[in-house]
Amino acid sequence: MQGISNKIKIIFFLIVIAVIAFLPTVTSQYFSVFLYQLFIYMILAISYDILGGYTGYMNLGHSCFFGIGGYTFAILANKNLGLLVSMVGGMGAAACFGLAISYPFFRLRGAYFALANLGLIILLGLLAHNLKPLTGGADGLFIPIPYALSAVYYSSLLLCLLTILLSYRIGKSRFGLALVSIRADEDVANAFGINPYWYKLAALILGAIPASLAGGIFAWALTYINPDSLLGIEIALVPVTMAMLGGTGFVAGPILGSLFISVVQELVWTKLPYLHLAIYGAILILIGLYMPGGLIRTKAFQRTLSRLGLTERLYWYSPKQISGL
Amino acid sequence: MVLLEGKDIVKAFGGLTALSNVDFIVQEGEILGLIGPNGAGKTTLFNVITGVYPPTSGTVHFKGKEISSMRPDTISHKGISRTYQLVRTFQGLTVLENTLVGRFFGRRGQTTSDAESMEEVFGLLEFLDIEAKANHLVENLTMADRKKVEIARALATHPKLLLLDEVMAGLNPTELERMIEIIREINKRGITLILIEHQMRAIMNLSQRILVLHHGEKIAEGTPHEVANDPAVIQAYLGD
Repeated sequence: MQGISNKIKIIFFLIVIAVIAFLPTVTSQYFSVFLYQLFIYMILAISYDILGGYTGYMNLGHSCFFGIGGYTFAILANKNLGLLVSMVGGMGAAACFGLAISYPFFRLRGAYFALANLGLIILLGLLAHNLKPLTGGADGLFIPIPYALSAVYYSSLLLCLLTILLSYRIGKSRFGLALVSIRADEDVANAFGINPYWYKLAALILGAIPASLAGGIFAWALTYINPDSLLGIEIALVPVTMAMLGGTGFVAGPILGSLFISVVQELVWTKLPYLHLAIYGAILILIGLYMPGGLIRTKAFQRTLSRLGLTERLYWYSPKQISGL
Repeated sequence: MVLLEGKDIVKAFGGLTALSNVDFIVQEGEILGLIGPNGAGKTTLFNVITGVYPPTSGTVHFKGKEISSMRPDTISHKGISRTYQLVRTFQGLTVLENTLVGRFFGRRGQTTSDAESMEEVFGLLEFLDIEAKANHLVENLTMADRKKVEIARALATHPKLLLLDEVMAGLNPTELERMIEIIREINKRGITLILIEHQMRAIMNLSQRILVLHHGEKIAEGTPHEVANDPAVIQAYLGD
């Protein structure tokens, strides 16, 4: 458990962030776009993990929040409400949607919860197709707000960092302990003073907020959205795969998973243009088979993480802590 | 003083009546034994008291207030806690984290810092001789230790009334001896106890009064001596 001191840890992370922030000035535009997309996926994977990982409620419909955030942003932007108001509007809409589905959906558990939410994405996709006056239907919507790659890059980077911080803080808090105890045994958690509904709702909304903002940034950068780009099945399932592959229930998991999949996808896609999907699928299956706890639960990563002083334990007893009292 | 009172409790699951018209009283500070053959409704009674199931009819009063329609989390905040017959510790969490759940969420009132809470919880783990395993995952513990984790988690909620569901089942003689001491000590600290137990020697020794259930009905109530010599009890256990 003993690692390097806190100060060095923080300096280390600041250097990493500074390097990432500095990258677009020295690398190609292609690479910046790659990184920005990685940030978006990372935000989705981490925000999925708040409910899906800590609380154990696998929400296959997490991208609903992404889609609602993106669409609301586009609709409000077309009403000339400006970037910031449109973003916040998207966030509000997603949070209200979360609130609305929480009551019926949290009566479901396990696979039923996951499937009901997956159905929700398909439903929203249909709505986006058919509510023509609002969403433009299959023709989609143009976003009238001009964008610069650097603005998109830095706003997604900032949102990504904030999401990481949010998930990390949850993982070290009493709130997080309540979520994890719900994952372990919801009825027992209830018997020990936790009202699961409120905690699950809070986890859902806390996950919805970053996802909806990511949807807004994504729509802004795309300049044109349609139902497939925001509510397609790929954007729904890839972040979940990333989180599970990296390891759920600890912020390092989705970070690592999204990094890993994005890089593998990029390499396979550019080096093996014909076989890339087959190879990609094979890698996913192999990891699922041999690393059921995800990449971060393997010995090598555990060692690295503990050297960085990062553990997934919420509370750790060390005699020093007590004797200081 | 009466701490807990059940009046005319009926609990039916569809056509099956798990409890029929059970009345009982628990005095503050006592140890009440709850015995009966398998399927008699003992655990169901615990579930009714702790709010897992609302009774089909009848009421439960705790400290004079009705609790029969309250949710389990509210009942925990009122000061009733429990352990489970089939141990239900939080898998994937350490002994310390399991106990902290009880400390942080199981009771109402003063909030304390994490360090203070940990110190308090650590004291409980010491009392139950599992402090050396504070950072172990519960799934790596022996059954006896996991039962102790359940007791620690329940005690961390500062209960007035603690329901222990077969905490002595499956323990070896040394562990059993120690568990009896622990139960006595918990009672000495001013916590009222209801014990469900099949270990007859232990329960006869520990309880001031015993309540016997059979097929969901109360067939006897009294001191251990009275109950042991009750013809209805003998018949329930040994048959005709």
